[in-house]
Amino acid sequence: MKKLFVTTVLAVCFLSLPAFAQNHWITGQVTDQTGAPIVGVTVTIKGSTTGTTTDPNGNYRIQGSAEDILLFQSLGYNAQEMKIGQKTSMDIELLESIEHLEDVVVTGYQTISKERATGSFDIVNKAQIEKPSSNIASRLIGTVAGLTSTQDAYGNPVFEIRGRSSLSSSATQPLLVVDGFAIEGGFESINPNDVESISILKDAAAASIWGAKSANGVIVITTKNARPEGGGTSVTVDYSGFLKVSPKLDLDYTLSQAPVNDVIDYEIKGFTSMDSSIWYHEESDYSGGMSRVYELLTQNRLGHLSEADMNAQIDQYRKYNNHDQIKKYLLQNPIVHQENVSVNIATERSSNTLSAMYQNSFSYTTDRYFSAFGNLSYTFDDRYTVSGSVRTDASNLITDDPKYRYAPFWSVGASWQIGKEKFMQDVAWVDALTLRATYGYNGNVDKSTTFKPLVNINTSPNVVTGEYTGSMSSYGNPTLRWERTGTWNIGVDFSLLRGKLFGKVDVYNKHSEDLIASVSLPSVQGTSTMKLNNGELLNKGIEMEVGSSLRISPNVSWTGTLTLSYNKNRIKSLAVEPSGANTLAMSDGSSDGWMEGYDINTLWCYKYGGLQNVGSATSPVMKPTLVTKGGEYKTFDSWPAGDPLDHAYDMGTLVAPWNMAISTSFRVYDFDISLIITGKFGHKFKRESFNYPGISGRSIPNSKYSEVVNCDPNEIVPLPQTETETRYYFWNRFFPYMSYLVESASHMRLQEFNVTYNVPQKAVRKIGLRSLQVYAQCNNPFNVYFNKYNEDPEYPRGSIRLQASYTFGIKCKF
Amino acid sequence: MKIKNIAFSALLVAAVSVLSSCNEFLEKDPSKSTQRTIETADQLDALLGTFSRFYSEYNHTALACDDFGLTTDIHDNQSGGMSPSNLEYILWNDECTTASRLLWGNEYSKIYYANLVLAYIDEVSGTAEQKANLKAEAHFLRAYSMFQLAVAYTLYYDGTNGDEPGLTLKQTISFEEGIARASLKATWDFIDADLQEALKSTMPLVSNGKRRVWRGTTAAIHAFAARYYLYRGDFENALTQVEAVLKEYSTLKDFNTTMYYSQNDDVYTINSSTKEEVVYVKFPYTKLQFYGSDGYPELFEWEDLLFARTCYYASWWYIPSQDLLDTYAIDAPDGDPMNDLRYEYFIIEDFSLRYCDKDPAFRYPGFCQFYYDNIISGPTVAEMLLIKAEIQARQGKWQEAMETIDPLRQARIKASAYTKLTASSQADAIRKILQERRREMPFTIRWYDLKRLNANDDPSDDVTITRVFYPYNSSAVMNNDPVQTYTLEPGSRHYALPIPNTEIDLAKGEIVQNTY
Repeated sequence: MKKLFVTTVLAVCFLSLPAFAQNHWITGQVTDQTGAPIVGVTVTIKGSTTGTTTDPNGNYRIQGSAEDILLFQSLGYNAQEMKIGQKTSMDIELLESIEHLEDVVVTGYQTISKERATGSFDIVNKAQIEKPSSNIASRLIGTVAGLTSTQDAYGNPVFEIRGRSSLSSSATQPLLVVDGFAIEGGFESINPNDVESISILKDAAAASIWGAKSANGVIVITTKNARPEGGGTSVTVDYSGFLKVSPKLDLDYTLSQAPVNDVIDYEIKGFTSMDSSIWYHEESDYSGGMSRVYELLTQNRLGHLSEADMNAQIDQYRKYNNHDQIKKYLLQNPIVHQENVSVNIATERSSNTLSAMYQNSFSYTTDRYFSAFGNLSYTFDDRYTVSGSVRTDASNLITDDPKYRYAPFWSVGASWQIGKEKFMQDVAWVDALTLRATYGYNGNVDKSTTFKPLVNINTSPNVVTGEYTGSMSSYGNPTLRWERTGTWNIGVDFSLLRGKLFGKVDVYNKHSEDLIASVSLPSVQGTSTMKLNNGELLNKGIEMEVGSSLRISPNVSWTGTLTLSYNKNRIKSLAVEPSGANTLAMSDGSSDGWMEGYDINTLWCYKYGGLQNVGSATSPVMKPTLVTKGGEYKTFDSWPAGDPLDHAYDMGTLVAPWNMAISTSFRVYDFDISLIITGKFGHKFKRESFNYPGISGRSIPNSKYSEVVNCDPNEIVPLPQTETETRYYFWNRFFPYMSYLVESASHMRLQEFNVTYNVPQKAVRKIGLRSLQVYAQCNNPFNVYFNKYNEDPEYPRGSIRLQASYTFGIKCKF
Repeated sequence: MKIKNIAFSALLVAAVSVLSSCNEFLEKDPSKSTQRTIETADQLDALLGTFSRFYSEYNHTALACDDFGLTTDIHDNQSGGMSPSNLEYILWNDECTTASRLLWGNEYSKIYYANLVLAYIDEVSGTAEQKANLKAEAHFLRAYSMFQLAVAYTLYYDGTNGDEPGLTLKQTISFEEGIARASLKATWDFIDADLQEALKSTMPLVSNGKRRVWRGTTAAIHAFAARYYLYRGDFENALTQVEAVLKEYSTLKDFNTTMYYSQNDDVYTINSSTKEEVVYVKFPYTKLQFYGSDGYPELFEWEDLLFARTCYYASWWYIPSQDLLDTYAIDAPDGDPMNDLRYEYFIIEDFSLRYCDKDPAFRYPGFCQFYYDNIISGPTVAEMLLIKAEIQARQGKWQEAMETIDPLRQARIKASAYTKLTASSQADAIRKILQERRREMPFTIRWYDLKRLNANDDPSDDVTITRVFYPYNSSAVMNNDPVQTYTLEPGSRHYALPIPNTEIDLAKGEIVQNTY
């Protein structure tokens, strides 16, 4: 639909012209390439306002003269023109437009023509949304550059757009908007079958209209609405059902135990030497549990059991292993069975969709937000666009100082559609080329702090005084304000070779400030730590999407996209000091590891210093040590003291800077075959370490036992070298944090493979259905790891890992 | 010029005009659950009534005074020895390197609550009387804490050294308030102003049959005022305040009838290699589990207590100096300190066996009142009588002074051996009264007394403290090095303890350390 304004003007002119030629009626049917009728196609006489739309059977009727050209247009299809000539009936077949020419971006507040949008948006295509899943979030994995995801063991993803922009762990996720309303619940509250379209808003211009909650980007979901279809009433029913099967839990990976023989050897070896604190005498009561082998060893030691008998019994135990029984009898294949029916009734006047809508979880909170916003966009000459938006957000969560409460969030943007310039008209291989740039501010709210002090008064009187008592539940920060992120974004959108190659490249820089962080305060303030607006983060990166779509033959077409993104993060300022020399090395990605000047996800480790002699030359005592940057060796007997940065080494980042996704899909006759591969590169993780357990049998040596027993003691922390090691229990403050455990966390996953069969229209209509699809899909069947231990960096050994799942289902409309 | 799409700030304009009603909309406080904003005086009352947060003081002046007796023997025989962080107080170090918050942090967190009440008292709902009393109580709590901080961390203010560094005068709950240390003069003016506001309270000590010692009642406020005026050398006002207290409440705890031993003795077997002996270490009944509902009632029921504050020592062993032990003997009937019931119950013989397990055993007493770690430091009726007596003596009425402390002596000396304490002259009376103060309130009032006695015009009551001990640093004690003599002279700048290093660091230069 083009310029309404202009059309109106021109219409006035045309209507005043006398009619020259003879008009006659033309009728026909408009179908798509499968032969199904398309309803609601606009049929107009080109150059006039005379027009009509096709009815539910795709039929139209229009008056026109022989010289007139009929124009057939419908959203999602390539427009077609046909001269009327002498025909009285014209059947038209419209071709679906390739996804990348989709016009429309939905921001939740407005629907923008993509041509004129200056910000960085991404739209997830319909086919991807309609694939089966129990959680709509999993449909977004690997589809959009800059939207990185990490899945838990059940496949539920957690998203981050363009790196971490907040210090508060509860406030790093993108804002979720459904049908124009920001929702508090997560993706779980949305029925995946209801989703019509999803847009991802990544930069300031795109997201700033959401103001104070948009610093982490916005995911906008629009649900299906029944469409009134050209008069009358129509009822459509959608049914979809699927069955999802997964393999059984990977017990060896999750339980990660050493083989039985090794466990018994370890207990025997450690009995005299290692954990002497559990030594006990016959007289006293020992109430802890212990393993059978340990019991036998103790009996022997106390003189109640002979050596021969003990060994015989121990050898019996060497044969026991219940893992196979567990796998066979206890574990089950997880199966998910879902069915969904939604009934859409539409009349001209009303449109109802019956379906289970999202439900806000009940919580008795009164958070109030007030916003005022404005948007401006001006396009000159159909190719130069400037846009701006201003929004002010206030909330009762923010201090009542008006300077902070009504903080404005704004953005400015410009775009230049180079492809429409005259000098580009001759360059035939460029269909569209647009350069855009934006700059603006978004905000973020952290609800864990309050600006007013909050108290918690006990409901019953104190037993001692008989009076009521209470405590501070929050000290209140009177200058609490929004976290703010300033982003600039420069991007290029291109489409080449008549849509055969398309994509975009974005470069961005996000500067987040006034971030809420726990700051240590001097005691005169009345409390020792307080969450204040104090930190600054930088995220810089580049995103690239390249796609291609080819029509190989009338019945075979292919689309492929590659997305690649790189994000670099740095803490620009933070007034928090690590509390001890050990704090950084033991941080494991938590907030303890945040240091000004480093990546927020820095992996800090100790460096193993090998065995050192802490005794004397004549009576040597060899103990494992850590080595500081200053060259000092410290044993594992006590907490190290000194400068944390002297002890901890920066081993890289825990969150992948490079994210890649490849998706391809084929349409072969009636089959749709699609594939998504995702990859993350450039980050690190710590592989499983031996657990150096005590000898009581309460914790069992894990699968790394053989590595440690056979290792070079100067490369890997060995078992104790001394006859007795009373501080063995203290080693767990050191061995899990050694730098030799660090491995590359790069990996690739076959995210999804889907084959869908669309039952031909003719067969379908015979059954009385409007459409029928049968599909099979598998998710995560296959992973490639770039570390030599075959450990999955996102699901460490000893925990539940993401399993493959196989889904079979049916979708039909009637 | 083709204008495409203009959708604009009609919305924005509308919004602006609606801002005022929006402010009102936004006034509603977020999130109701158990967390509430402060709206009623009852809430403030409940906060101030949470005694567990207020009663204890980590007052390490107890270690710095001459009631605390450290010798090399004690260190040598103690397993692990004396901890260097405690030695920093005991030996008057220039720095305080301990990481934990201590008196400085602890008192300021109480001041926060006082400031919180003062910030909200005008807005909350409640009766005028309730609000006025809460306001007075808040001023009292702030004055009390500031006073304890001033006695510990600043030099004695004698009127001429007003420019010395004082304390941070925190008056609001804002985190952006300046925290620089005010001058010494400004600090004392501040405490004085708070005290005057506090004295307006009408909240009685006894209410509904309960002695509400955990609150800032009129008895507590007057008693603190007496202590304050004595320290400042204002005898007239001190006397007025004492009378006000005694008029309201004047009961003393008679140790003859109400003190008894705990049933749980600590038992040690010592000297196994030579002549084995089983030692039973006896404690007062108040040594029972103090924390939780078992112990607080015993503190609150302490008959002469006017305001529940205790001095807390994490390492538990209050080591009485030989000087202190002798002080009990001096005026005891027959020179036998066991006739002084304070000595009998609170000086714990052989307490050292808890920490010293060497053979031959090292036997030395300790001091325990409530559990191993808490000693009453809040004002008591006993203290009031002693203040009155001292002032009377200093004003020349020294015979009356000896009469004044007689009821106290009767409550503290074994009745069967009791003889009245007399003095031969004014100077003698003052000396005896000062010693009685030491016997009645060891460790807790001594530093306060040392500072004011060293500062007054009478040089005969000046005290120099010396200790002989090993050299030490923040990590270890150098046992093998020759001992040093540590001295605290009357005019020493070490009468202002160093502020903990972490506090100086976190304040990023706003708070300056004491200079030595």
